[in-house]
Amino acid sequence: MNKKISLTLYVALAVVTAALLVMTILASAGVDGVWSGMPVVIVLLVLGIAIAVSLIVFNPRRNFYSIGFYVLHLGIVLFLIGSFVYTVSGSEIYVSPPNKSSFTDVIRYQMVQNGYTAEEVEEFASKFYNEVGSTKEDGTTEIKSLGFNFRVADFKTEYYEDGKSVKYYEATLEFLENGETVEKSLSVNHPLYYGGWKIYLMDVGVNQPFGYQEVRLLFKKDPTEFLSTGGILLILAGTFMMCLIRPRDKAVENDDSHASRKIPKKGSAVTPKKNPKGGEKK
Amino acid sequence: MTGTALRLLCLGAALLYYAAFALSYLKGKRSVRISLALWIAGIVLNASIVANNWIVNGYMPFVSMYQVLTFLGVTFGLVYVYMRYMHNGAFMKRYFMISQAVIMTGVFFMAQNAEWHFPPALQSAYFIPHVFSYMISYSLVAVGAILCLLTFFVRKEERKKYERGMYNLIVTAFPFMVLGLFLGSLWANACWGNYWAWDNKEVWSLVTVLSLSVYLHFRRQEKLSKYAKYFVLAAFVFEIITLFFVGMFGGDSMHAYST
Repeated sequence: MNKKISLTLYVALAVVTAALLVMTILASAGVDGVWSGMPVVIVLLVLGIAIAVSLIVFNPRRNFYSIGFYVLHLGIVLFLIGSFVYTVSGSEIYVSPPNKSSFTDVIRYQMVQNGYTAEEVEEFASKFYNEVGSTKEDGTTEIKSLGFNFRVADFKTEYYEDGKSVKYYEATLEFLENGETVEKSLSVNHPLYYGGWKIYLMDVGVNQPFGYQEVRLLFKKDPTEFLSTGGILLILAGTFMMCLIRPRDKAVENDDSHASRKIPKKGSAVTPKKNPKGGEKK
Repeated sequence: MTGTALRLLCLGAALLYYAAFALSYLKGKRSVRISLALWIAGIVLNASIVANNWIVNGYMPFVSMYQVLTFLGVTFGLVYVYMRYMHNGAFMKRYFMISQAVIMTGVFFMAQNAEWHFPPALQSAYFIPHVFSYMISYSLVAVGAILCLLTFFVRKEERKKYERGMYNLIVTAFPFMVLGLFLGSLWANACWGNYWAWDNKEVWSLVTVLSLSVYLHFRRQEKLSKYAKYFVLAAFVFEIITLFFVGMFGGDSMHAYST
């Protein structure tokens, strides 16, 4: 193996790892935009080139089995880095804002009877939120600024024929963009990307005692989602390469699982190919 | 189809599988052919239950335990065809038959409400590949574990064949089990906003995957290779726990089936 190439690879991988570590620390210290900008692109580019070169350099035989080995284990590392960065610097906040369209005249009347003025009720029903917060297990409250304004404008529930089992949930959110409201809808299994946040529809509940709907939403910010998802895809690709698309050459692997595929004909001398650079591995 | 008809079909399939299994031990060309014919008839009956569930519900019948197990019975047949032509797995045929027979016997005694309402969380493109890849891997691991047990009892000359067969089964099962696991986590990320929630079923399926990966790693090491096959047996035990016991005693699991 070429010593210069392998040394360059080691240096590149060390630099990339160090860069990722520094970026993680910066992001966890509250610096914005660490995971969205030129540095990320450069780091990933270097990482990708280092991986591609090492796949070729460290695999003289260049078969799917040994490439799969690197792809799979690299996927595990990327997935772990992505998950780790998320636990350090990601946000995950559950909120239950009221659904504007569920404030019927009856509910408004009851709220007025309970000491609210009509204006207060109207303001509460149609309020836009620009930050989300949730109480943690240890009693502290975590509040995050969203960078945009939203409210729940409508909520739709469809039932099966029996009238009890839920078939479909859909929430319509309204966002303020330059003074105008923009509607966007989301349903279970189809989260909404907006302003750097991923919004999930979790559930719906009824407020006690007034009876308007409270829509359970999850606001999630995962700056390294591409690392986790990319890692998962690499793990899958690598596993399939290693297990299903396997080398037919007997000398590559010291297991005999594929010996049965090629049965030598009687009278023909078949010698297994030997590794040109070190003979058969035992 | 009525409930009684479905139960009779199920009994018929189980009996045909048992008969095919018993005949496979007889020598002679004729008994081999009859065994194969009975097996195919059993699979046809089994598939007709699946088809009925599919038509009644209007989606691939993967939701309740009853639907999953009847589908699993058919999956064994599909997987055997792959093993037969890719890995010379003809000698494993009877172990596929007996696995199917046991499953259909279990299904026969189960509550068989075929109809089920599909909640919003399950309405996803990940659902079918997630369950289907698990079924492929579970059927392969089940037969692998049978071969693993048999390696303790067969003659020394035969042991090599069984160990090789076991390895071929596991190496085919492993990528599908990993696929099922990670499709599940991608789905959870789309539905609940988290890849992993330490749900009972998730943890046990991770233990199963890790156990198989220990087998695949150990058998390449000279000193550890003799311990490798115990991890196949362990994986089978974990698989049974994942498939049945978590649903029964698991408390609040996100993977709770309606029985």
